Amino acid sequence: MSGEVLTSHDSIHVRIKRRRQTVFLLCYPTQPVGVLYQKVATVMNKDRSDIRLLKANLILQEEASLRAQNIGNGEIIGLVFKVEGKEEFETPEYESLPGDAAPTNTGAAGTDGATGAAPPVEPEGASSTAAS
Amino acid sequence: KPLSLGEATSNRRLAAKLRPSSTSSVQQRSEFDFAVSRVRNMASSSSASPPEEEFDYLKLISAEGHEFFLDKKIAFGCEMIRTMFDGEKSHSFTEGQTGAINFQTINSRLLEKVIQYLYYKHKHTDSREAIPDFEIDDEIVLDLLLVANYLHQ
Repeated sequence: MSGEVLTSHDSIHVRIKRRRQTVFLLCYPTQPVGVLYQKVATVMNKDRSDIRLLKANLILQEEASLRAQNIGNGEIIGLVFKVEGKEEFETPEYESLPGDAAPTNTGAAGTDGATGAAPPVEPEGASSTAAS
Repeated sequence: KPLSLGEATSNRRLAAKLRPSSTSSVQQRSEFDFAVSRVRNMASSSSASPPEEEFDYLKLISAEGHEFFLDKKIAFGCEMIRTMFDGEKSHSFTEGQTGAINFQTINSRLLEKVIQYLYYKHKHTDSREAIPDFEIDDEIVLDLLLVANYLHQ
């Protein structure tokens, strides 16, 4: 059993969102969420302790696996940074793209009556643009 | 006025009686055992480990300025992107240095769909099992087709 390596077929991806950024990460359900924390910290150029990953307002635990915390393929995960100079974290908020089929409704507002909740941003014009 | 110990205890016993599981506790128990054994099985099969891979990423920027980060090797599933970073012509693209591509003609919704497709492609390429359909909303089908055509060049 040991020494077996998972293949791309076992992989999933997650979409980690904050404001107008989305980090797609390739991952595996048995991996600890700490792997996501590590990679997001790298991409965002932040200390690990200065970021938090949220699913439906629950803080994801680094030691537990993705599967254990019910993170499925394509799942949207909220990302928040620690507010500079304080011990608290910002309110979760991300630009919701039309057609987001998030299995769990993490929504744009992280907390009830949160300020700065980003309403879905419609693209300019009715028809989406593509290469001419 | 706080309940007496007797009252509190009898309240608790009453609450326990009223809980639905109390009438089918045997069934609940066996379901629980089954769940536990499933978790144990998953844990033992999870001794298979993900491949050791370096983490490398690219940034793709939509027409509206939404920034998408994705694993580089997944991005290379798109021939155009691969050419910019990996091919013999890569030195002639500034993106090769910046690690970012500005897609000024592709909106956020479409670009996100493209990236989702690249992960889908990575997951299901060379799969021995039936491959699920890649879901696309009707309203973006035609535009996505144009984008796909553009990126394939």
